[in-house]
Amino acid sequence: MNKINRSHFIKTMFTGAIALQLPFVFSCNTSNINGVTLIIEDKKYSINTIDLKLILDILMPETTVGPSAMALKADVYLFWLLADQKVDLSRKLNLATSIKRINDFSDEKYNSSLQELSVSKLQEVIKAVSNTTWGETDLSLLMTVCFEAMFANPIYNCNTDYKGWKWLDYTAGIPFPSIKNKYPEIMKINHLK
Amino acid sequence: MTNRKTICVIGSGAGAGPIIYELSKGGHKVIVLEKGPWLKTEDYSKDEISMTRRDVVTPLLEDEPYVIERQQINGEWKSKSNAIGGQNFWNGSVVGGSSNFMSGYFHRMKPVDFKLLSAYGNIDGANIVDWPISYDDLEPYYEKVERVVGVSGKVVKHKYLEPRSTSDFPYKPLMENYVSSLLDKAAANVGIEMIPNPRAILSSKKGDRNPCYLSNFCGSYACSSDAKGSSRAALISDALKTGNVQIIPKAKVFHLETDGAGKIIKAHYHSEQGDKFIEADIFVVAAQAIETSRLLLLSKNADFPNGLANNNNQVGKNLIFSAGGVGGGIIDFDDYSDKEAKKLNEPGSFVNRTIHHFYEVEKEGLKVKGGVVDFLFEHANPIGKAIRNKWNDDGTLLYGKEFQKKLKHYFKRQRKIKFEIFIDWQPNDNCFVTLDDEQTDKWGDKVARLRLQHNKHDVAVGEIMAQQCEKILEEMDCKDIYSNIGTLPPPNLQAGGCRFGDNPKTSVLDSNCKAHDVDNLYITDGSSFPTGGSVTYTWTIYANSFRVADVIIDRLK
Repeated sequence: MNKINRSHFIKTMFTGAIALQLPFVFSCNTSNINGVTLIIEDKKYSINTIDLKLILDILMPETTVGPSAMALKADVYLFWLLADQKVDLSRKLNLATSIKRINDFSDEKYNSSLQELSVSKLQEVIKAVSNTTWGETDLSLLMTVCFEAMFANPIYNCNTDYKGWKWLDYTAGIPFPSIKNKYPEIMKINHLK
Repeated sequence: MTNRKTICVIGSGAGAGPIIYELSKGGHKVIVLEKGPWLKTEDYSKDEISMTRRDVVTPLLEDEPYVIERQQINGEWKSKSNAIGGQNFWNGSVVGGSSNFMSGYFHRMKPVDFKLLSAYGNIDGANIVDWPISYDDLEPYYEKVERVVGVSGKVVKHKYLEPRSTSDFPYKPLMENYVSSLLDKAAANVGIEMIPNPRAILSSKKGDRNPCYLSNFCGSYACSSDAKGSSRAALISDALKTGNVQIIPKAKVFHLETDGAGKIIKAHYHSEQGDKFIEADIFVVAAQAIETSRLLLLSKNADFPNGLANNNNQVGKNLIFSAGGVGGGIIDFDDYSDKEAKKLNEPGSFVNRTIHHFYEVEKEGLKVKGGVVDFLFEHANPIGKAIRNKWNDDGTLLYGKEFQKKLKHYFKRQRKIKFEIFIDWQPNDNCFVTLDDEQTDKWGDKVARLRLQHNKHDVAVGEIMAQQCEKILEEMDCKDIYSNIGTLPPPNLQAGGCRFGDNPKTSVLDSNCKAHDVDNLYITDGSSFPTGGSVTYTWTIYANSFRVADVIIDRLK
């Protein structure tokens, strides 16, 4: 019998001297942290948060049209999503490896890491990435993370000050989720009578 | 009451609710085994993350997968587990089942739907049979659902209006959007009859249930006023007041044990406290079509070596879905005054328009069965809208400022009107449920193996209807009009697998939905349907379950 391996687990810690628990991500500003190491299915994956910010700033920049991914805390949301055991494993693995893959592409094709590129060159690299099959998938998945961060209730520590909703005059449904019934707490609810 | 019996109901959705309601009110003890948790109205919110972006009300596929077989271009059948992704056939594993999350577009089946073979003959590659009951048998129960579950709307006379024992719905129509009048006008201009769409949503208070508060988040979400006629809000809540109902949540039934004489004595279930069982006099299975067939197939013993009620190898056969497709177009606010645009963009109010005009259509010179079309606005979920907007017209990824411009315009300067086409899914030899020999779920039980195939006839009928619907949107000057008739089965609209009929060799259940071979087993979800009609199933599931409830009550007298 083919029994599904149910031993998925994930740990999150920041590279450097101290290992921290995931809730810390919610309370911190990731701009002063340059790397996050994740363990998914017993394998380590490192995400350079500076590279992540550079990519997100291209995908959803702060413009006269709308708010940036970073202003909506899409980076924080990404780490929360990656730490979630209930999220589809293939989606998590793709996201967890995407930032390094894009940086490697830059190194290989442009002889320069993302952080060394000028803004215009960075635009060029991301455009080139989007023209590859793998790159389009990676960027598309990252954009979906941005959308979740943009439109989720701020109880999820994103969509700061309702920036996403206000931008598009979006009227959210009532009732809002509360601390008791937001995800994943809702999954613990089970009345017995 | 002297003849009080114990009824074990497996599942708590639309097929189970009427049984729980009627049998408990009849004084019998009803024990409900629901595989999911028990969430109440106050536990739900309009949270897109929990309700649509995570598996909160369905199991993780890695825990409870299916194996899905599809035919390749070369004709070979290839199977694949959906454990790490794929089409998900679970719907609402919570008390109340998927009826919690339905949109409540309610249509009765029409008299002809009960005798498709007699009326139109068979279709190449299809296994069409007439139902063992008629529309007249079910009409009183359709009416009962209108009253008890609550259906709002307005009956208007039209060519295909089914016979009714009452003149109108018991609840007035819900608040409509300005677009409804535009649809009426455009349809009339192109010669198509557009009528109001009944909904299983209360427009006024009913007992403890409050009327619709126009939340704008109906489908995929549980109702926070209990206006929506879910099995939980409309039936189980009242049934619990009798004191005769015991709900056991997180109880996954995996085996129905028989006594060696064709009678079930125990329902065995997995729980967080280990495996347990319930003894009862009557067992009613309503676990939704795929899982109902799976449970019977899992319940093998010496009397039923092929699975419970399966000595004629009919369990799991002729699985059906609701065939059809979707279409739509953009209402560009630049084409309307500011006042009109504001009305069109008003959240919460309903479109509630439907077309029955195409219930019979002409295909290759012959009259064939058609279906219904419901009109609605694109779902309000913003994450879903954004995802659909991240692509350029040429299929490349759109991002950056240009994406922001597109999204801003999409949210502020237009609204998408959609139509959903529902037609019969022809039952056929390559659409069925068996057990997979390799894959097991988290408890070690064999999972359902689904072979899925549509009939090209259905696609052709759908396309005829879609072309006509596009004309309405053209008349409204909508932009980017499209339609797409699908071949994939919609997982939330499943039926068949345990046909009812008069011949035990070709059906699993008799006309009262009792298993031919098992004296105390009834199946009251959509599994019994030999054909599905060209409407969503829920109203008919409710009505048929109320009918079977009366049969069981009579039997127990």
